[in-house]
Parts: sequence; structure tokens; C-alpha cells
Amino acid sequence: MSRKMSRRKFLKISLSAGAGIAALSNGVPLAAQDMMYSEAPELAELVAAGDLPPVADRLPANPVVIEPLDSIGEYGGAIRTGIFQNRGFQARSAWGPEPILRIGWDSSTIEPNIAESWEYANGGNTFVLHLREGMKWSDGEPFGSHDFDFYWNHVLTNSTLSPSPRSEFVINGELAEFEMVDDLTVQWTFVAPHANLPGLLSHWIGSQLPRWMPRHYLEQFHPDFADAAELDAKIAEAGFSTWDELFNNRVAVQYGLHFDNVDLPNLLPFKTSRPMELNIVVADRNPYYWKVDPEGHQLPYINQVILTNYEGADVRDAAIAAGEMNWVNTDLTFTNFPLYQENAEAGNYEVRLWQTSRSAEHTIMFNHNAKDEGLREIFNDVRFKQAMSMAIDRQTIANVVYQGFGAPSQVQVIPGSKFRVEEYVTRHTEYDTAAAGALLDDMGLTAGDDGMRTRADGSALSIRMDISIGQPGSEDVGELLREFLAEVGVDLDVRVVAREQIRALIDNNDIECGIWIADKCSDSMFPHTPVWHVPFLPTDWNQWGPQYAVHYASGGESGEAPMGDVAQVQQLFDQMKTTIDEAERVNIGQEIMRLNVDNLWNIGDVGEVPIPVVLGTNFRNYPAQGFTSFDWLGNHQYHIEQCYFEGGEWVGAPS
Amino acid sequence: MISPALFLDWECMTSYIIRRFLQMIVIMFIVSIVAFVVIQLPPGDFVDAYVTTISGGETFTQETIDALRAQFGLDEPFHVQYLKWITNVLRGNYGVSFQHQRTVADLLGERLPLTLAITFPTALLVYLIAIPIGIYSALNQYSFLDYVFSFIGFIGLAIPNFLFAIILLYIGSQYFDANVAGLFSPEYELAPWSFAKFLDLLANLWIPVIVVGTAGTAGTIRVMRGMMLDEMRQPYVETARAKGLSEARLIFKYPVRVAISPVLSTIGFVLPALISGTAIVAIVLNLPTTGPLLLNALLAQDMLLAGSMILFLSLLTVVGTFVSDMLLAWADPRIQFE
Repeated sequence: MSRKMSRRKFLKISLSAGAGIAALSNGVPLAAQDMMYSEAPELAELVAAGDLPPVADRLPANPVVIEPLDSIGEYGGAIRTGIFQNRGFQARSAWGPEPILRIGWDSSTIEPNIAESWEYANGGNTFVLHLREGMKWSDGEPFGSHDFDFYWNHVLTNSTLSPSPRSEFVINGELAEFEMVDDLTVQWTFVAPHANLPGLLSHWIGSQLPRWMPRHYLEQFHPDFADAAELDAKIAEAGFSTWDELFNNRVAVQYGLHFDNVDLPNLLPFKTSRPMELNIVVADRNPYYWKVDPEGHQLPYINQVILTNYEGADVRDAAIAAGEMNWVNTDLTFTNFPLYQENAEAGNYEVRLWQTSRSAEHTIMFNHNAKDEGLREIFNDVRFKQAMSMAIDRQTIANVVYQGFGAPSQVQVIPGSKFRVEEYVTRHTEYDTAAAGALLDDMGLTAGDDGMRTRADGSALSIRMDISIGQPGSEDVGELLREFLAEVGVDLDVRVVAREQIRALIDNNDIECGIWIADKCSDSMFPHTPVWHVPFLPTDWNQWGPQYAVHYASGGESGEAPMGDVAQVQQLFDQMKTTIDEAERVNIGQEIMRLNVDNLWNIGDVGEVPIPVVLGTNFRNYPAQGFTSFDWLGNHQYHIEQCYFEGGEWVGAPS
Repeated sequence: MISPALFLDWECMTSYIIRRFLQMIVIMFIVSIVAFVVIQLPPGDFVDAYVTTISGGETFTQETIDALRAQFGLDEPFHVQYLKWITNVLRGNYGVSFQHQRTVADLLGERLPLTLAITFPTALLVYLIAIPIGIYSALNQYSFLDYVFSFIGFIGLAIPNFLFAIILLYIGSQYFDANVAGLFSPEYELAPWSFAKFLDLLANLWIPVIVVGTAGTAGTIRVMRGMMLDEMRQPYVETARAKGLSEARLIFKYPVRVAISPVLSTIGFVLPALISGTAIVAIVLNLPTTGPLLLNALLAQDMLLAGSMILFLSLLTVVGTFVSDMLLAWADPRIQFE
């Protein structure tokens, strides 16, 4: 118990210091050379029977040593988890994922993973990855540079499979040059330093690349290698009409795991043993997994993952309450917390409250490019946004919508982030209708007899707010906002419309005021994808400067040219892309934060609203408080491979 | 015994069948266009759905989005997409589901057997229960049992299926320790097929069968009862009775044969309902049937999967209507092949 506490304290300290356990970062693993390795009893049996090479031969020369969170585990048991309608954004951390690099325990630091280390050379323009000697695919075949070479020269640059090159490898419009230096070294050379590449390789794209890499398996489906007649026969047999259909089917993964193709080798702790059939998929321990604990036990501790796809969210909730699962943190909504809690004891699970990557539940965005000239002028006046922010009674939002949870927050970054400045987070979040009214009076938006304000031209100050349908909490918050703004004489015309409709409104610049879930505000996404803080990506949901984003993405060819602080925040983002030095990156990020709070382009409601996480009562080595979100591809920073069931099986497992 | 009418009009009937068959081809062609158009009606396409929802938070640049469109062939004009699809369908290739990256045939093959395992017995059960009850209720109008059946029938008609499913689910799990969702108990989910697993399936199958069957049973009872009451008042019944026909023979030879017409003529709609009619119930009960697959395909605008399923359902409707016409011709001597 004392160990647990100290560990948690350590986590907290490392979070606030932004440093993390990654003292072993940048490539020096704990010494593993002299370790005696051992393995799960099931695998030992296979070795004894001669069906599997000994564990020492299966592991790389220097396996990754994972120090467990609380205690050394025991082998056995099954993770039972569930997704619905085939959507399992966060379930992926039940079976991995294993990106090329990864995020550390502190949810912030980038660490080595599949790659043993990385470095910049050539004045920063060249990015070098060093791979692990003797690392193997789940079928026992060696993994190395040749697999990267296959991906680069036969997938990414193949115009049939990839009609346009991946933007992650494009800098200043130029695709990187790839080079296979030796068996264990690959490098990319860009026209300028690609400082965000480690961040990208530890995130989504980093977890996607390995599926296109097992060349020893995939060559048979690729016309660059396969015999044409044999390939045609394979295509016909599988019922496809072109080779790329077959290829895409063979590499298809759902959230990192191959649900359908048991033959696709992977680098995850688990590999599919029973393909998706009637909504259930099973993945068993990967005998060639390349991580061990400090005592040399090959990981993972847990035998298998059983995943059920439910046809709807409600039926999955019912199954959770009935005690059919021991690991769920996929799209659980906070409003269902009482349901989970009520049935926890009978269902042999517990509910933990974790945090997400939302700096605020919602960002409220007034369109600074609004077509209506009058509104545009008002929205570009910072006094208006300060008034709107102070007109929001955030405590009432927390009480009514989030059962009392939530702290007033602007759209900045989450607690623990190295870019966070506390004063920015709470600025203009105090509820003060008098001050808000005074600011609006100052602007000349005078109130009539009915208390409602008019614009300079005498027309009523009415703003349309479009809310996307189906976002938990958004409609409730929108309704409250309408009441709060009416208090200070501003009429908010709230509409709830389909997501595709919002997309069209943004693309046509017809948004007046938008509201969206303010996610992606963590160290693992903000530096490369600051969707709220910088208008740069016109295909995303930023609605305060959609035309600035178009201008940025089109290289100035279309959209509206930003000036002043908006131009500056885009320049800061450009600097972030090319700045490798960590201290400098923090400065740039904090400057972006300052410009944001000075201009209140986004107005936040409440932050730190927790998310329920359901875990079996004897599930061990997972933090009591943690972060889970797309930013960490679920919560892969907590190493599913070192989790275990005390006693070797979940107490609620069906007999 | 072959009906004399059928025997005499054999030539007429052959030409009728050929005519109907040609009509069916034209209808299927029109349906295929309508299906393709309807699926494309909502704003956006699969790539939009993928980018906004299915990908789960990943951001996409315009180049990536364009590349995805090109990969799925969604950047081509509508008629080109349609022609590609329909020529492949005619060759027996239903295409690849965008969402699953699997062939449509493969996806349907996985779910069809279980779908039929639920709906086929249900449909049989509906007729086996409803037709005799309808006849009994009509013959014993205002009897105690007639009231009981009418009461249950109206309740069955009035309760939405999904609500009924939730109630049974609650009762099942609270009082009978039934599985909350799905067709197998957790201990059998992963087991290979065995007699015990089959029994487990039967133990879990009763909820969907009751839920799916109730409304149909109730409706068929009411139709059968109403038609029978009308027919029993016809003069030909009196005539037959006066001629000394036994009551049982009379009823089954004349009024039942007429009264069953509306039931037979709706068999055409039963076939597609077997495949897709249970979507909401299947979602509530978490049944891996084709209904939810179609619903999700439509929501995600998974063109080829949704299009092929709708085409398949239309084909079943057309064939079902043909079958019910043939049944009617056999059962109702008043019908002529003209």
C-alpha cells in the first residue's frame, strides 16, 4: 500500500514537473543483458513440446524492461471489453497499441518504443530511428529496416495504395527522402527540421505504420513482388476485383488490432486468434512480444483479450451493469456514472474517475470571419468576448449538466501540461453580469426597454449558435448559455443540427457562433495539432477563424489573411513545427496560450470533468487516477502489458 | 389435390409467369437506381462520416481527405459510380464495404444464418399460432377465450417491439438469470458448437422470438378473425350447410380459403422483414443479425454494403410478392391469369 501511495505521489510530481519517469528516455533501456527470462506456463508447454523456440530466442537482444506500476504480476486471465457499433476509439489500449515511439507514464513525455532511440542529424533536417536488434513479428519473423523500406517504397509512395503521400511526412510541401541506412537504422531527410515527428510517431500515425510493414507476409499481395497469375488467383478467391482491395483487406485493422485477418503479423502484446465473428473477437498473448518485467518475466501478464461489439451504446451499458466486462473506458459518458456505480459490487468491477484531454468541456467560438459585417466587428472586439465569458455561470453548468463536477476553465491545456499557465486558465471565468453588461454598454450595444441589446445599426443583437447533434452535454450547455446570455441582453438563437450540416456551415463560412468539445488539449497533441488554439486546419471543427484556417492551409491563395495576434499565433505554430529544443518549444506553446487568453478566441465552460473507467475489482497495476482520450490512443501510456489479475483470473469471470 | 382452375389454365399460367418474370427484371433495375440515389441523398459521403465520426478523433488534411475519396472511388461522378457497382453486381461481385474492408458477400454470409435462425422460426410460429386462433375466435365470437386472445392481441399490437424487448430483457435478467444481451451465455460465447451450446442458444432465443413474433401474431389474428366473421355470414356458407356438409369440412373448404387471402397476399412483405425488419429489436437485444448491419451501413454511408443489402431486400420483396400471388391463385378460385 505504501508503495502504491509513493508511486502515485511520484506520478503527480512528475506530472507537474513535466519530466516523467522517462529518466530512461532517449534510448537507454534498463540493462537486460544478464537477465534470466521466463514466460507464461502456456508458452512454456509449447516450448517443451518443441512447437515454439525458447523465450530467450524469441525476445530481442535487449528487451524493453517495463517497471510495473505497483507490483510484479502473475500470468493468466482475460480482459473482457466492449465497443459499440464497431466504434472503439479508446479500446485500442486494451491490446496495445504499440506506436513507433510512445508517451510515458506522465502522459506527456515521448519515449522510445518499437524504435530503441531517435536523433536529429544534418542540422535537424534528418530524423534518424534506431531499431531493436533481434526484435520479431508475432509470427517469429525478424522485424527491421527492411519493413520500413517496404512501407515507404511500396505502400506510401505507391499511387494505387496511397493516392497522395501522408501529410505527416511532408514539410513545406515536400515529401521526405527515406533511406535505409542499415538493418537497424532508417532515416528521413526533410527540407527543414520536422520537430513534431517524434510526437506524431508516438501518436496515431505511429501506431498505424506497423500494419503496412510486415513485408515477409504482405509481399504475396503486392504486384511489385507477387507472381501476377498467383496474385490474380488470390484476388479472385477472396472475392475482390483489384489487388489493392485485397491488399487493403489483408492489412485492415480496427483501432490497431486486425479484427478479421488472423494471419497479419503484429508487434502488439496480443494477436488475433479468433477473428470477428458474430460480434466477438479474441486476441491471445503474442509469444514474440518484446517486453519483460524487471524480473525477466515476458509480458504481457494477461492471457487474452475478449472484445464484444455491441449493436448500441445502451446495450453495452446494460452489459457493463450486468458485470460482463472488466475493462471499459471506451466512450463512457459521465452522465452514466450512477448506473455503473450502482451495479459495481454485484458486477465485480469498480468505477474510477479519470480525466480526459478536454481543457474545457466546450469551446464557444464566435466566428471572427462572420459574413455579417456588424457581427464580425462585434466578435473581433475583445470586450465582447470578455463580456460573454463573464456572463456564463459556470457553477450552474457544473451543477446542472455535470453533477457538480468541473472547474471554470478557458480553452487552454489540461492540468499537468508543460504549456499550462494557471492564471490564463481562470481569467475572465468569474460570473459577473454587471461587469459583462458594462463592457457591452462600453461597446455601444445599448439595451432597450425589454433589456435586449441592439447593434449600432439599430437591429436586434441576435446570434445564431449551431450545435452538433449527439454530443453528450452540448445541448444542455447550449440551453443554459441561451439563458445566461439573455441575462446580459444578448439573444442566442440555438439550433441543433447534424454534424454534416455543421461541416457545410463551416466550409461555406456560414457559422455565427459554434460550440464543440474542447479536446486534444494535451502535451501529446497540442504541439502538432492545436485545433482550437491556432486556426490552421480548415477540415477540422475550429469555428472562430475558419477563413484564417483556409488561408493558412492554402498558402495564402484563398481565405482571409489574418493580421495582428491571429497572424502571430500562426507564425508561432510554424516555429513549433521546426523547433527541436524542448525549452524553446515550451516557450512557444505558452506564448500561444497567452495570445489565446488575451483574445478569448475560444471561450471555455468547465474543465476537469471526469470520465468513468470500469475495471475488474482484482485488476492490478492501473492508476487510480489517470488520463484517457484519443490523445493517448486511449491510455496506452499505462502499459496494458504490465497489468494483471490478482489470483490469475478476474473474480467475475464466467465459470 | 390440384385445383381444377390451375390444371385447366396451365398454358395461361406459363405465359403469366414469364410476364411476371420480365416485370420483375424491370422493377429490379429501377429499384437499383432508386436505392443508389436514396443512399446518396443525405449530405456528405462515407469519407465525411469517416472523418467526422468513425476515425475517432484523428484530424485530416484536405489532401488526405481527397486521397480517401479517390481510394473509395467517391470522387467519380454519380452515374460512373452506379455503373461500376451495377456491372459488378451483375457479375456476382457485390463490392467491398468501406467500413470493414471486407467483401459484402463475406459480411452478409457471417450474419445471414443467425438472422434466418431467428426470423424463420418466428414467421412459422406466427402463422401456426395466429391462423388457428383467428379461426377459433371468429367461430366462437364473444366467448371467454375470444376476449382473452383479443386482449393479448391488442396489447401485442400496441407495444412497440423495442420496448417489449427491454421489458422482457429486464424480467429475464432479474428473475430468470438470462443473459443480458446476445444469443449465448458468456461461458458458451467462445465455445465450439456442441449440444450444450445449442441448448444455451435455445435458452436465449426465446426473448427475440417472442418479441419479434408478438406484433405479427397479433396482427394476423385480427385479420383472420375479421375476415372469417365476414365470410361466415355469406349465403354460400348457409347453402353448404343446408346441403349437409359437415361443419369442419365446410369451414376449411370454403370460408377459411377465402379469409386467408389477405394473410397470403402479405407474405411478400414477410421475406424482407425476415432480413431487416428486426433492426431495432436486434440492437436492443444485441443480436448480430443483418438489421443492425444495414442500419450502420446507412449511418456511415457505406455505399456498396448498404446498396447491395437494399437491392437484396428489394429482390426478396419482389420474389415474395410473386410467391404470394401464386399462393393466392392456388387458394382463391376467383383469381384468373389474365
